[in-house]
Amino acid sequence: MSDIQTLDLKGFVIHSVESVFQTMLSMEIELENPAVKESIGNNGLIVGSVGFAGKIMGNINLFVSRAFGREMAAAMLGMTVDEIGSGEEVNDVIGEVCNMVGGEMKSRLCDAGLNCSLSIPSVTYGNDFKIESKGWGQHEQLGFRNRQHSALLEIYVKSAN
Amino acid sequence: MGDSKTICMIVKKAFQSYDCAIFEADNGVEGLAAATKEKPGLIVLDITMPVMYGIEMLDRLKSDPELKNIPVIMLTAQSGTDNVLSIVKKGIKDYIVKPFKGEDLIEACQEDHVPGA
Repeated sequence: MSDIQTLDLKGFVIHSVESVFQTMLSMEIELENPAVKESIGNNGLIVGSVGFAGKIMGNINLFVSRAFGREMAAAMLGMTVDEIGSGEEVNDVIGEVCNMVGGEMKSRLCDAGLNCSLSIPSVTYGNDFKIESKGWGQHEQLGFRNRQHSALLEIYVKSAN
Repeated sequence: MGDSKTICMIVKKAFQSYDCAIFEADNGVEGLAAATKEKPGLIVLDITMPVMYGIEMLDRLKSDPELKNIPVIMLTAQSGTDNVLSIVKKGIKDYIVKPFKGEDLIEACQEDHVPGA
């Protein structure tokens, strides 16, 4: 069983995000360094979150702008951005994307001997808010870019012991 | 069957060029009711659902003499070996791990498709 300090969290995250974006959204996404969190929420922010608990506990938060969220929804549903109606469709897509990223992460953690269960995803949206996780043992914050849009993924983990 | 409108739309889109009727259910309870009423030729079942989890709905399908032979394709976001084995043991036609493409689903529906391929 791996110790969380020896986990390649960054590698897990990069693989999971790339896999989901390429397969479900047909979007090429590349690592953006440094992560530009501040610019993502200038005109509305959507955050998909999923938790996991077991031998390892933690949270995954995926931050995107409202504009990028609409593009992601259009890509996933095979529609144009103009055809995306309510915010509910966008929120559902973000929640599902976060669920899939969490699922990929969970599979890798379990393969590393750190069995855990995934929570249902939740979506937070608005214009001016922060999300903080407390008491974590290891943390990664990674920025990604698709054309003119940025996304940010944060993962916080701690050992259950 | 699943509460994600996103996944429902992807599934519907995958089948849109085929001559078939699609019935939707948001949770396992509604799913069982729909299956009992419509006797579908195939059920695409998301593991994560409110009210009744997908695994519980699958157990109930398999314990009902009138429903147990309906082929079921499970959708899951978790690809771990233990997770997959526990699902396969319940006698499903196939499982699909998210993320997936509509073509993956259509291929899984083929009669000669090898599960997990």
